[in-house]
Amino acid sequence: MFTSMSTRRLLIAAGLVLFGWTAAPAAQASTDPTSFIEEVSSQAITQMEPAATETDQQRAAKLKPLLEKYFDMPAIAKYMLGSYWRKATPEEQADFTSVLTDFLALAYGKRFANYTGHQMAVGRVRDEGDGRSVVFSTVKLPSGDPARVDWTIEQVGDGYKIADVKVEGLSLADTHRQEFASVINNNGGSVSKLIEILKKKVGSN
Amino acid sequence: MMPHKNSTFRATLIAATLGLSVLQAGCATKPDPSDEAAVQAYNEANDPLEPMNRYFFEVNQFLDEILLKPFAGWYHIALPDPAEDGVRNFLRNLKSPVILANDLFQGEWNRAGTTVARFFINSTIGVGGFVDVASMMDMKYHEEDFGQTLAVYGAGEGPYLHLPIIGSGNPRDYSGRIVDYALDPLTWIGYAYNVTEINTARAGLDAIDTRARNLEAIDELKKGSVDFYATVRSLYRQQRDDLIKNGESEQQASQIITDEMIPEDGNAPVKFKPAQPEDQVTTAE
Repeated sequence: MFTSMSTRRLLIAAGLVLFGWTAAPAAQASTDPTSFIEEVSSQAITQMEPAATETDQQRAAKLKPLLEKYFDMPAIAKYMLGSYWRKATPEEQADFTSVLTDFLALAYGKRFANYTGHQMAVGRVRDEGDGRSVVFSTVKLPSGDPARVDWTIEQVGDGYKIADVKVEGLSLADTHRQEFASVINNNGGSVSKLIEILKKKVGSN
Repeated sequence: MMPHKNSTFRATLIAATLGLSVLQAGCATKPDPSDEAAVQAYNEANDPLEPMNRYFFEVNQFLDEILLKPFAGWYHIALPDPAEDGVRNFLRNLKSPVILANDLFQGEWNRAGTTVARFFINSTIGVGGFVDVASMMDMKYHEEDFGQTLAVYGAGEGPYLHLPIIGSGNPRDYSGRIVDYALDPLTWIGYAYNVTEINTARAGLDAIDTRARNLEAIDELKKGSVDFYATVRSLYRQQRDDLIKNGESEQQASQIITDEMIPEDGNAPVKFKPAQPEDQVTTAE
């Protein structure tokens, strides 16, 4: 039951997991982590804000290109499968990466659209080495409470891509990694079964 | 002869046997040791009693649907938002003595000072705690409990344990709750004046208030999940971890203490140690 242990953070996590939103300057080629996150944020507003009243499928269709453009989906897919990635066949790996994008677009579309338009303040950037850095930001919730949103981004080619988002310390990548591991375990270690379940989820909603 | 003692013994024996068999039925089957991926997933989940936990989780989900959620829904409709915030402020103010004790146990002197100041300001100017005046003066609320204190002292969390009514937890956090209960002046006031109902009422109101704030969030979480139990288990752990680190380590402490500075045996102060260093997102695997 959701007693005091799952406090406000659950709300925030569920509410905001993907993006923080602000009226950032118009998109341009991002040359540093801060302006990259600002670009993502402004794109999110343009694309998602009008979607608040649409259906889940319509929202998912709008979120998907954003995920593909700004998130490092292959790396995220690999991380979320954990040690099962190596057990999966190349076809399963490709299949999983593709259905994962649809799954996340569907799962976060509503939370995303509901929370667009809120003030986001981008704070400092911590260099993690190996082309990775964490951009710290704060989003002001409708209630007036601020929420911490930390973006793990990495250099891919000339630009950046997002590898994880943490809202109030709750990581998108870790949460789904554990969820998927549990599904695989309860289905006799079968990655294809997980893919099947995700496909069904994406198709039925 | 001592028939009384004998029957007590027999009852204990029966209880123990029953307990053992329940425990056995509740145990997760260990993975085949040769299956590396399964072993790693098993260890990462750290949930040896998963079948029992899942059973209690289902029970709690049912109770949530028939009791807590409807109550929280009515509460949310009946109370205007400022009144709801007032209730939360009041409940938070009541937690001050326990928070203060744990601030002190952890040597967090600044936070202890904030807790004291908040309590006096909010109890007086804030009309008995209903208005959070202190946070307008930039003294923000923070949580602290004995489970977190134990973690700061280096205690491991132990396996995940989902209990009826109470919900998510682990041995460390449950022990912490018992200590917090004993630390709370209201507990003793309840017993001394024979009004233990106040503590039951407070726990109930706390549950309703929290649930009311999460109505849509939990629905969305449930809807977007392919294994809700595993999602909740993961979120519980991450949330506790973030609380233990006071939500700061990411932003401050990790600048000072890097992974390389943590000795191989992992004996670094828990406060600064990332819970699962291997869980960092990386493309190189």
